Amino acid sequence: MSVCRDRCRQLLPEYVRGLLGQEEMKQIAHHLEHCLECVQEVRVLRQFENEVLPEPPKWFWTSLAGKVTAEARQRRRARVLIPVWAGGLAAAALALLLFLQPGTAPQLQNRTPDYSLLETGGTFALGLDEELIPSVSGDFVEALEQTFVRDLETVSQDYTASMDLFPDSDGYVSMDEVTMKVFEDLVEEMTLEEVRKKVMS
Amino acid sequence: MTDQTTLERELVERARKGDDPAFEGLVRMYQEPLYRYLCRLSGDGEDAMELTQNSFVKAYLSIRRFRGDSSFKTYLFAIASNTWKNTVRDRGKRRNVDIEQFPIASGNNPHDEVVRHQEQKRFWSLVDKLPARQKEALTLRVREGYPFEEVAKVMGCTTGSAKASYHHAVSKLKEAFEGDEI
Repeated sequence: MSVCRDRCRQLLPEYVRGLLGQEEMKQIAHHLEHCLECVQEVRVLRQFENEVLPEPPKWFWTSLAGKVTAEARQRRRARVLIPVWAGGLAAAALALLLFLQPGTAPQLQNRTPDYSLLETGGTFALGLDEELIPSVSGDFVEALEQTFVRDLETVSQDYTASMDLFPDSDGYVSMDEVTMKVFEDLVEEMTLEEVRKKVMS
Repeated sequence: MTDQTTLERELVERARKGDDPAFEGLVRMYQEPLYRYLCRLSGDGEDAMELTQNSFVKAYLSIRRFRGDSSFKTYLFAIASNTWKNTVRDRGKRRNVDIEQFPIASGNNPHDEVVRHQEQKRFWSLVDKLPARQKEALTLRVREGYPFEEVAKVMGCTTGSAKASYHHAVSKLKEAFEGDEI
Protein backbone atom coordinates (compact mmCIF):
# COMPACT_ATOMS: atom_id res chain seq x y z
CA MET A 1 0.00 0.00 0.00
CA SER A 2 2.80 2.40 0.88
CA VAL A 3 4.26 1.72 -2.56
CA CYS A 4 0.95 2.81 -4.14
CA ARG A 5 0.85 6.01 -2.17
CA ASP A 6 4.45 6.95 -2.58
CA ARG A 7 5.01 6.19 -6.20
CA CYS A 8 2.65 4.32 -8.47
CA ARG A 9 -0.47 6.05 -7.34
CA GLN A 10 1.00 9.50 -7.88
CA LEU A 11 1.94 8.57 -11.43
CA LEU A 12 -1.36 7.05 -12.51
CA PRO A 13 -2.57 10.12 -14.46
CA GLU A 14 0.63 10.02 -16.55
CA TYR A 15 0.34 6.23 -16.89
CA VAL A 16 -3.19 6.49 -18.26
CA ARG A 17 -2.07 9.06 -20.81
CA GLY A 18 0.95 6.98 -21.76
CA LEU A 19 3.39 9.68 -20.83
CA LEU A 20 5.85 7.60 -18.79
CA GLY A 21 9.00 5.86 -19.93
CA GLN A 22 8.89 2.20 -20.94
CA GLU A 23 10.32 0.98 -17.64
CA GLU A 24 7.87 2.98 -15.50
CA MET A 25 4.94 1.89 -17.65
CA LYS A 26 5.98 -1.74 -17.10
CA GLN A 27 6.38 -1.29 -13.35
CA ILE A 28 2.96 0.28 -12.97
CA ALA A 29 1.31 -2.34 -15.18
CA HIS A 30 2.88 -4.99 -12.94
CA HIS A 31 1.66 -3.18 -9.83
CA LEU A 32 -1.87 -3.02 -11.24
CA GLU A 33 -1.97 -6.79 -11.45
CA HIS A 34 -2.31 -7.03 -7.69
CA CYS A 35 -3.63 -3.66 -6.45
CA LEU A 36 -7.38 -3.32 -6.69
CA GLU A 37 -7.36 0.22 -5.34
CA CYS A 38 -5.10 1.47 -8.12
CA VAL A 39 -7.06 -0.47 -10.75
CA GLN A 40 -10.20 1.36 -9.66
CA GLU A 41 -8.36 4.64 -9.82
CA VAL A 42 -7.18 3.91 -13.36
CA ARG A 43 -10.77 3.19 -14.31
CA VAL A 44 -11.80 6.60 -12.99
CA LEU A 45 -8.96 8.33 -14.82
CA ARG A 46 -9.79 6.54 -18.09
CA GLN A 47 -13.25 8.10 -18.03
CA PHE A 48 -11.64 11.45 -18.58
CA GLU A 49 -10.07 10.16 -21.76
CA ASN A 50 -13.61 9.76 -23.18
CA GLU A 51 -14.63 13.27 -22.37
CA VAL A 52 -15.71 15.44 -25.28
CA LEU A 53 -16.35 19.06 -24.41
CA PRO A 54 -18.82 21.37 -26.17
CA GLU A 55 -17.07 23.36 -28.89
CA PRO A 56 -17.63 27.10 -28.92
CA PRO A 57 -18.52 28.75 -32.24
CA LYS A 58 -15.56 29.56 -34.50
CA TRP A 59 -16.01 33.30 -34.11
CA PHE A 60 -15.22 32.92 -30.42
CA TRP A 61 -11.64 31.84 -31.15
CA THR A 62 -11.08 34.40 -33.89
CA SER A 63 -12.50 37.40 -32.04
CA LEU A 64 -11.50 36.72 -28.43
CA ALA A 65 -8.05 38.36 -28.43
CA GLY A 66 -9.36 41.65 -29.85
CA LYS A 67 -12.35 41.64 -27.50
CA VAL A 68 -10.15 41.09 -24.46
CA THR A 69 -7.81 44.01 -25.15
CA ALA A 70 -10.72 46.29 -26.08
CA GLU A 71 -12.65 45.45 -22.91
CA ALA A 72 -9.57 45.73 -20.72
CA ARG A 73 -8.74 49.18 -22.09
CA GLN A 74 -12.34 50.25 -21.52
CA ARG A 75 -12.32 48.98 -17.93
CA ARG A 76 -9.06 50.74 -17.26
CA ARG A 77 -10.47 54.03 -18.54
CA ALA A 78 -13.53 53.59 -16.35
CA ARG A 79 -11.56 53.41 -13.13
CA VAL A 80 -12.66 56.07 -10.70
CA LEU A 81 -10.44 59.05 -10.17
CA ILE A 82 -10.33 60.33 -6.63
CA PRO A 83 -8.77 63.47 -5.16
CA VAL A 84 -5.14 63.35 -4.08
CA TRP A 85 -6.02 63.64 -0.40
CA ALA A 86 -7.96 60.40 -0.65
CA GLY A 87 -5.02 58.70 -2.34
CA GLY A 88 -2.78 60.04 0.40
CA LEU A 89 -5.16 58.83 3.05
CA ALA A 90 -5.41 55.42 1.46
CA ALA A 91 -1.64 55.04 1.23
CA ALA A 92 -1.11 56.36 4.75
CA ALA A 93 -3.85 54.16 6.14
CA LEU A 94 -2.35 51.22 4.32
CA ALA A 95 1.02 51.95 5.86
CA LEU A 96 -0.67 52.22 9.24
CA LEU A 97 -2.33 48.88 8.76
CA LEU A 98 0.92 47.20 7.83
CA PHE A 99 2.91 48.91 10.59
CA LEU A 100 0.36 47.92 13.18
CA GLN A 101 0.48 44.30 11.98
CA PRO A 102 4.20 43.66 11.72
CA GLY A 103 3.64 39.93 11.47
CA THR A 104 1.84 40.43 8.18
CA ALA A 105 4.58 42.38 6.43
CA PRO A 106 7.75 42.36 8.54
CA GLN A 107 9.90 43.75 5.74
CA LEU A 108 8.19 47.13 6.07
CA GLN A 109 9.35 47.68 9.61
CA ASN A 110 12.72 49.14 8.78
CA ARG A 111 11.61 51.45 6.04
CA THR A 112 9.97 54.80 6.15
CA PRO A 113 7.93 55.73 3.11
CA ASP A 114 8.48 59.27 1.84
CA TYR A 115 5.16 60.85 2.66
CA SER A 116 6.21 64.22 1.22
CA LEU A 117 5.43 62.69 -2.15
CA LEU A 118 1.82 62.52 -1.15
CA GLU A 119 1.67 66.30 -1.19
CA THR A 120 1.70 66.32 -4.99
CA GLY A 121 -1.29 68.22 -6.33
CA GLY A 122 -3.98 67.10 -8.74
CA THR A 123 -5.69 63.75 -8.75
CA PHE A 124 -4.55 60.28 -7.85
CA ALA A 125 -6.04 57.12 -9.26
CA LEU A 126 -6.19 53.98 -7.20
CA GLY A 127 -5.22 52.14 -10.36
CA LEU A 128 -1.75 53.67 -10.21
CA ASP A 129 -1.77 53.90 -13.94
CA GLU A 130 0.16 56.76 -15.51
CA GLU A 131 -2.41 57.08 -18.30
CA LEU A 132 -5.06 57.94 -15.74
CA ILE A 133 -3.07 60.31 -13.62
CA PRO A 134 -1.46 62.82 -15.93
CA SER A 135 -1.44 65.48 -13.22
CA VAL A 136 0.53 63.39 -10.75
CA SER A 137 4.26 63.12 -11.25
CA GLY A 138 5.73 59.81 -12.38
CA ASP A 139 8.05 59.99 -9.35
CA PHE A 140 5.06 59.86 -7.05
CA VAL A 141 3.63 56.76 -8.70
CA GLU A 142 7.01 55.08 -8.89
CA ALA A 143 7.86 55.83 -5.27
CA LEU A 144 4.51 54.61 -4.07
CA GLU A 145 4.80 51.43 -6.07
CA GLN A 146 8.36 50.79 -4.96
CA THR A 147 7.45 51.41 -1.36
CA PHE A 148 4.45 49.19 -1.15
CA VAL A 149 3.82 46.85 -4.02
CA ARG A 150 6.52 44.28 -3.29
CA ASP A 151 5.36 44.00 0.30
CA LEU A 152 1.74 43.76 -0.70
CA GLU A 153 2.44 41.02 -3.15
CA THR A 154 4.27 39.14 -0.43
CA VAL A 155 1.21 39.52 1.73
CA SER A 156 -1.01 38.36 -1.10
CA GLN A 157 1.04 35.21 -1.50
CA ASP A 158 -0.04 34.19 1.95
CA TYR A 159 -3.24 32.43 1.10
CA THR A 160 -4.84 32.94 4.48
CA ALA A 161 -4.02 36.62 4.57
CA SER A 162 -5.34 37.27 1.09
CA MET A 163 -8.48 35.23 1.61
CA ASP A 164 -9.22 36.88 4.96
CA LEU A 165 -8.67 40.38 3.75
CA PHE A 166 -9.88 39.99 0.19
CA PRO A 167 -12.39 37.19 -0.18
CA ASP A 168 -13.35 38.55 -3.60
CA SER A 169 -9.82 38.78 -4.94
CA ASP A 170 -8.58 36.88 -7.94
CA GLY A 171 -5.74 35.46 -5.89
CA TYR A 172 -3.26 38.12 -6.89
CA VAL A 173 -4.17 40.96 -4.61
CA SER A 174 -3.17 44.21 -6.23
CA MET A 175 -2.19 47.60 -4.91
CA ASP A 176 -5.55 48.86 -6.15
CA GLU A 177 -7.47 46.35 -4.11
CA VAL A 178 -5.43 46.87 -0.98
CA THR A 179 -5.60 50.66 -1.04
CA MET A 180 -9.29 50.59 -1.85
CA LYS A 181 -9.99 48.15 0.96
CA VAL A 182 -8.05 50.15 3.51
CA PHE A 183 -9.59 53.34 2.24
CA GLU A 184 -13.10 51.96 2.55
CA ASP A 185 -12.47 50.61 6.02
CA LEU A 186 -10.84 53.66 7.51
CA VAL A 187 -11.99 56.74 5.68
CA GLU A 188 -15.09 57.22 7.75
CA GLU A 189 -13.38 56.67 11.04
CA MET A 190 -10.21 58.74 10.82
CA THR A 191 -9.23 62.06 9.38
CA LEU A 192 -6.11 62.35 7.25
CA GLU A 193 -4.40 64.23 10.07
CA GLU A 194 -5.21 61.49 12.56
CA VAL A 195 -3.84 58.84 10.25
CA ARG A 196 -0.69 60.85 9.55
CA LYS A 197 -0.08 61.52 13.23
CA LYS A 198 -0.27 57.84 14.02
CA VAL A 199 1.94 56.83 11.15
CA MET A 200 4.54 59.50 11.72
CA SER A 201 4.74 58.94 15.44
CA MET B 1 13.96 26.06 -22.63
CA THR B 2 11.28 25.19 -25.20
CA ASP B 3 10.31 27.46 -28.07
CA GLN B 4 6.91 27.97 -26.49
CA THR B 5 8.47 29.07 -23.19
CA THR B 6 10.76 31.50 -24.98
CA LEU B 7 7.90 32.89 -27.03
CA GLU B 8 5.73 33.17 -23.90
CA ARG B 9 8.43 35.11 -22.08
CA GLU B 10 8.90 37.48 -25.00
CA LEU B 11 5.17 38.11 -25.29
CA VAL B 12 4.78 38.62 -21.53
CA GLU B 13 7.67 41.06 -21.46
CA ARG B 14 6.19 43.07 -24.34
CA ALA B 15 2.67 42.90 -22.89
CA ARG B 16 3.96 44.22 -19.55
CA LYS B 17 5.15 47.29 -21.46
CA GLY B 18 1.67 47.84 -22.86
CA ASP B 19 2.04 46.08 -26.21
CA ASP B 20 -1.53 44.97 -26.98
CA PRO B 21 -0.68 42.74 -29.99
CA ALA B 22 1.72 40.83 -27.69
CA PHE B 23 -1.05 40.26 -25.14
CA GLU B 24 -3.33 39.17 -27.96
CA GLY B 25 -0.65 36.64 -28.87
CA LEU B 26 -0.84 35.27 -25.32
CA VAL B 27 -4.62 35.05 -25.62
CA ARG B 28 -4.33 33.03 -28.80
CA MET B 29 -1.70 30.81 -27.20
CA TYR B 30 -3.83 29.91 -24.19
CA GLN B 31 -7.45 30.49 -25.21
CA GLU B 32 -8.19 26.85 -25.97
CA PRO B 33 -6.63 25.28 -22.84
CA LEU B 34 -8.23 27.97 -20.69
CA TYR B 35 -11.65 27.49 -22.25
CA ARG B 36 -11.42 23.71 -21.79
CA TYR B 37 -10.34 24.13 -18.17
CA LEU B 38 -13.23 26.49 -17.40
CA CYS B 39 -15.65 24.28 -19.29
CA ARG B 40 -14.70 21.37 -17.03
CA LEU B 41 -15.04 23.50 -13.90
CA SER B 42 -18.28 25.24 -14.80
CA GLY B 43 -19.86 22.38 -16.71
CA ASP B 44 -21.29 24.81 -19.23
CA GLY B 45 -19.95 25.90 -22.61
CA GLU B 46 -21.47 29.37 -22.56
CA ASP B 47 -20.34 30.08 -19.03
CA ALA B 48 -16.88 28.90 -19.98
CA MET B 49 -16.77 31.37 -22.89
CA GLU B 50 -17.69 34.25 -20.62
CA LEU B 51 -15.30 33.16 -17.88
CA THR B 52 -12.48 32.78 -20.42
CA GLN B 53 -12.92 36.34 -21.63
CA ASN B 54 -13.16 37.74 -18.07
CA SER B 55 -10.07 35.86 -16.96
CA PHE B 56 -8.01 37.23 -19.84
CA VAL B 57 -9.25 40.76 -19.12
CA LYS B 58 -8.15 40.40 -15.48
CA ALA B 59 -4.80 39.03 -16.58
CA TYR B 60 -4.35 42.00 -18.94
CA LEU B 61 -5.12 44.48 -16.16
CA SER B 62 -2.70 42.86 -13.74
CA ILE B 63 0.12 41.80 -16.06
CA ARG B 64 2.45 44.56 -14.90
CA ARG B 65 2.46 42.90 -11.50
CA PHE B 66 3.24 39.46 -12.89
CA ARG B 67 6.86 38.83 -11.92
CA GLY B 68 7.41 35.50 -13.58
CA ASP B 69 7.60 33.45 -10.37
CA SER B 70 5.45 30.87 -12.14
CA SER B 71 4.69 30.35 -15.81
CA PHE B 72 2.18 32.73 -17.35
CA LYS B 73 -0.14 29.78 -17.88
CA THR B 74 -0.15 28.97 -14.16
CA TYR B 75 -0.77 32.63 -13.36
CA LEU B 76 -3.62 32.72 -15.88
CA PHE B 77 -5.20 29.53 -14.57
CA ALA B 78 -5.05 30.86 -11.00
CA ILE B 79 -6.93 33.98 -12.11
CA ALA B 80 -9.44 31.82 -14.02
CA SER B 81 -9.93 29.55 -11.08
CA ASN B 82 -10.76 32.43 -8.76
CA THR B 83 -12.97 34.06 -11.37
CA TRP B 84 -14.96 30.82 -11.55
CA LYS B 85 -15.18 30.53 -7.74
CA ASN B 86 -16.39 34.12 -7.46
CA THR B 87 -19.04 33.45 -10.09
CA VAL B 88 -20.24 30.34 -8.25
CA ARG B 89 -20.39 32.27 -5.00
CA ASP B 90 -22.18 35.26 -6.55
CA ARG B 91 -24.84 32.98 -7.92
CA GLY B 92 -25.44 31.73 -4.39
CA LYS B 93 -25.53 28.13 -5.44
CA ARG B 94 -24.14 25.88 -8.09
CA ARG B 95 -26.16 25.56 -11.24
CA ASN B 96 -27.42 22.18 -12.22
CA VAL B 97 -25.34 21.03 -15.11
CA ASP B 98 -27.08 19.41 -18.02
CA ILE B 99 -25.04 16.26 -18.39
CA GLU B 100 -26.64 15.61 -21.79
CA GLN B 101 -24.90 18.61 -23.29
CA PHE B 102 -21.56 16.78 -23.06
CA PRO B 103 -21.32 14.50 -26.06
CA ILE B 104 -20.21 11.06 -24.95
CA ALA B 105 -17.86 8.88 -26.92
CA SER B 106 -19.67 5.92 -28.48
CA GLY B 107 -18.70 2.34 -29.30
CA ASN B 108 -19.81 0.00 -32.07
CA ASN B 109 -22.00 -2.51 -30.22
CA PRO B 110 -25.46 -0.96 -29.45
CA HIS B 111 -25.86 -2.84 -26.15
CA ASP B 112 -22.39 -1.90 -24.97
CA GLU B 113 -23.08 1.63 -26.03
CA VAL B 114 -26.19 1.89 -23.83
CA VAL B 115 -24.37 0.47 -20.81
CA ARG B 116 -21.43 2.71 -21.44
CA HIS B 117 -23.68 5.71 -21.82
CA GLN B 118 -25.37 5.02 -18.48
CA GLU B 119 -22.05 4.52 -16.77
CA GLN B 120 -20.63 7.73 -18.15
CA LYS B 121 -23.75 9.64 -17.25
CA ARG B 122 -23.43 8.43 -13.66
CA PHE B 123 -19.75 9.30 -13.68
CA TRP B 124 -20.15 12.87 -14.96
CA SER B 125 -23.01 13.46 -12.59
CA LEU B 126 -20.67 12.56 -9.71
CA VAL B 127 -17.98 14.84 -11.13
CA ASP B 128 -20.46 17.67 -11.17
CA LYS B 129 -21.35 17.12 -7.52
CA LEU B 130 -17.76 17.31 -6.32
CA PRO B 131 -16.90 20.25 -4.05
CA ALA B 132 -15.22 23.10 -5.95
CA ARG B 133 -11.71 22.48 -4.59
CA GLN B 134 -11.81 18.76 -5.31
CA LYS B 135 -13.06 19.34 -8.83
CA GLU B 136 -10.37 21.94 -9.37
CA ALA B 137 -7.57 19.67 -8.11
CA LEU B 138 -8.82 16.77 -10.21
CA THR B 139 -9.14 18.86 -13.37
CA LEU B 140 -5.69 20.37 -13.02
CA ARG B 141 -3.97 17.09 -12.21
CA VAL B 142 -5.74 14.80 -14.67
CA ARG B 143 -6.81 16.95 -17.58
CA GLU B 144 -4.16 19.63 -17.54
CA GLY B 145 -1.45 17.18 -16.50
CA TYR B 146 -0.05 19.54 -13.85
CA PRO B 147 2.20 18.08 -11.17
CA PHE B 148 0.85 18.63 -7.66
CA GLU B 149 3.25 21.52 -7.02
CA GLU B 150 1.69 23.45 -9.93
CA VAL B 151 -1.82 22.40 -8.92
CA ALA B 152 -1.12 23.94 -5.52
CA LYS B 153 0.13 27.18 -7.09
CA VAL B 154 -3.02 27.56 -9.15
CA MET B 155 -5.25 26.72 -6.21
CA GLY B 156 -3.34 28.94 -3.79
CA CYS B 157 -2.80 26.17 -1.25
CA THR B 158 -0.10 23.78 -0.08
CA THR B 159 0.96 20.76 -2.13
CA GLY B 160 -0.35 18.47 0.62
CA SER B 161 -3.75 20.12 0.51
CA ALA B 162 -3.88 19.82 -3.30
CA LYS B 163 -3.03 16.11 -3.05
CA ALA B 164 -5.70 15.58 -0.41
CA SER B 165 -8.35 17.32 -2.54
CA TYR B 166 -7.38 15.22 -5.54
CA HIS B 167 -7.48 11.90 -3.67
CA HIS B 168 -10.83 12.74 -2.05
CA ALA B 169 -12.22 13.46 -5.51
CA VAL B 170 -10.94 10.20 -6.98
CA SER B 171 -12.36 8.22 -4.03
CA LYS B 172 -15.79 9.73 -4.61
CA LEU B 173 -15.68 9.01 -8.33
CA LYS B 174 -14.91 5.36 -7.70
CA GLU B 175 -18.52 5.13 -6.49
CA ALA B 176 -19.63 5.40 -10.12
CA PHE B 177 -18.39 1.86 -10.66
CA GLU B 178 -19.45 0.32 -7.39
CA GLY B 179 -20.99 -3.08 -7.92
CA ASP B 180 -19.36 -3.46 -11.33
CA GLU B 181 -16.98 -6.27 -12.05
CA ILE B 182 -13.51 -5.20 -12.93
